Amino acid sequence: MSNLPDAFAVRAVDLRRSFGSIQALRGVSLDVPKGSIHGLLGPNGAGKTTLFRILTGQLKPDGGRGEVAGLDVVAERSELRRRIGVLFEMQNLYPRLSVRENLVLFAALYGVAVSVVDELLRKFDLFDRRTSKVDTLSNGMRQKVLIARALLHQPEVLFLDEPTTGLDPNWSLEVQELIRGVRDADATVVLATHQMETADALCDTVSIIDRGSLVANDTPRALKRRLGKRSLLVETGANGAIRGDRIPFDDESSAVRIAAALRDRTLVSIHSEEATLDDVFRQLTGKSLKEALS
Amino acid sequence: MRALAGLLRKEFIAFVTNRTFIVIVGLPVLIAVFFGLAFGNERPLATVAVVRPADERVWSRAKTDLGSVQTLQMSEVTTDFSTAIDIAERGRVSGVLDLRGLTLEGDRLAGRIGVSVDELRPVSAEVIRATVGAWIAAAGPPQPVATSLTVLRGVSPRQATIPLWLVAITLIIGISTMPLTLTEEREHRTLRALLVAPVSRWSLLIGKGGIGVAMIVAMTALTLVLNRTPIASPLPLALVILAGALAFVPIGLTLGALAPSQNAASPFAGLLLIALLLPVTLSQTEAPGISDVARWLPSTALASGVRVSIVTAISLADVLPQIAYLVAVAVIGAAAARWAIGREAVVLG
Repeated sequence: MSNLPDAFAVRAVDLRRSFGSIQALRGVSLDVPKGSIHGLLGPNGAGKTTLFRILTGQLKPDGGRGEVAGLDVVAERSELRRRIGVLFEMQNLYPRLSVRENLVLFAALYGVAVSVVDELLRKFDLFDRRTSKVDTLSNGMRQKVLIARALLHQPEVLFLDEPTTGLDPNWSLEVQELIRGVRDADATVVLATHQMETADALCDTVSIIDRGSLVANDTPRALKRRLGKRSLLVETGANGAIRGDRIPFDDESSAVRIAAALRDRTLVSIHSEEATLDDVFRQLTGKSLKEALS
Repeated sequence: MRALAGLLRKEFIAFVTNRTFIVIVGLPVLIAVFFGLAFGNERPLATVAVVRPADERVWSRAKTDLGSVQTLQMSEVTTDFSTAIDIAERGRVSGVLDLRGLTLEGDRLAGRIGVSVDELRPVSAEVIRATVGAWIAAAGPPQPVATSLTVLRGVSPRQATIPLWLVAITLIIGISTMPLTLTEEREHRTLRALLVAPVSRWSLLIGKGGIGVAMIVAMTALTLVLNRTPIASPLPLALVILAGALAFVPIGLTLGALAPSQNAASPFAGLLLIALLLPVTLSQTEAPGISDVARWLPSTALASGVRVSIVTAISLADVLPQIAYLVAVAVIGAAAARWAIGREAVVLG
């Protein structure tokens, strides 16, 4: 029986996993509220993919406990597979099968009526391309097919690994909209990404993982308020030259520093700069995510 | 059941749209082109086994006469008639000339020649009869030599050769092609999608293996049809081929599940294919030099079962040992493949 409170769709308690001498997860605990979009953030190798695989029943943890949709991810793995949907980082469709054939195959595996496939194809604007071989589609379109495949059986929890990576901005926005639609249909979404902007725009709550440990878990707004730095970009002019000063906004000395920036100069413009999740990441790990990725 | 039907359909589409399918269909066609057509053009040089007369002078004269004709070749000479017939029935010669009834009357041969021809080699039979007829006629009237004609049923070139091709097709599809169905899934990462779906490892194996077995059965049948091969025992042949397909397909799947990529699987598949096929090529000629190790290879059991079913009218009980051995290999192979696919979860980590 599950010990999972009704409010949570995913719970990880002290999950640990090593590969040889490498500790990929060092006791991660995490709760994801039902009907929310939760982001697992961190650079490659941080442990988020390991956590992702454990929670989707692909990998056994060395220790700790994971529950998804009220099911133990190890002991009830068979039932778990029926209740979750998974989108992998790689676009793993059958390239020589058509869009519809790909979906019909998984409809058969999940015991879903073929009519659902056609409904999804229409909903995702893929119906006109249903007979196209997958290897003729754009990246964005393939990503939509993958999301449709993951949603065929109306999973309670949808796991997405880097759902917008490699997509151009328009496709990325469209995919984000589809993910919001899933949340709005009362499913829970867990997405692993290293794209902070996507997580910020999409997620209700986020966890930041670094070197196998969970270093933060909260709403993006709360994290940014607590750990991020807002600032003002003050542009001033003198003798025809324009200068920009970035002044921390939450600091008590902000007003003094703004006054100092304006002394003997003409104000050109003031922009407020909000804190980002990358600032939060830098605050927590001592480096930006871009630095961590490189 | 619906999941299994879906997997079978997917495997079928994946199989026929893969470039490897050209090899699979090309094999029976190539065999038919290179050998099937050749069988329709028997050379007008017939090989015979000769039962020599006891009298050395008679034999010397007959040997000289027969040695001078261009259309007969004395491949075997013996003093025992049943040995000569046995050689013919094994397909090593096209007929038998029994010269034991010949005598010498002055400098002319007299008496009787027994001619046995293989009904499965009509061209050679006609060549033998015509050659012997011309030999007798050349002596001029009155003809002192009479002939008696009997017909035997030997082994046609098709029957002698096709078993090897059937085994080759089974091994090429089972050992060389089946690993690709899994390594391709791994390289496209589609295996992960299947492994997180509610589908059993057995269903995955049956989906892939089922198409492999069906392809082997279809291509061996096509080879038999294209080459118009006479089959002495169709039911035992069908069951032996089915058992062979069931034995070798799981071996290929195990190899595919264990190999991390297509490049990693190919050398092992190639080596295994050669190891299993080499002894079979020798077994077709009943060469005495086959080692005991080779005799225990499942491919040798398959070859022996196929050969005896094609050449001889037998009952199912006659090939039961081969079928039982191949089914045992199939069971072990399936268990190994199931274990190897289950191991995939560890590989994914």
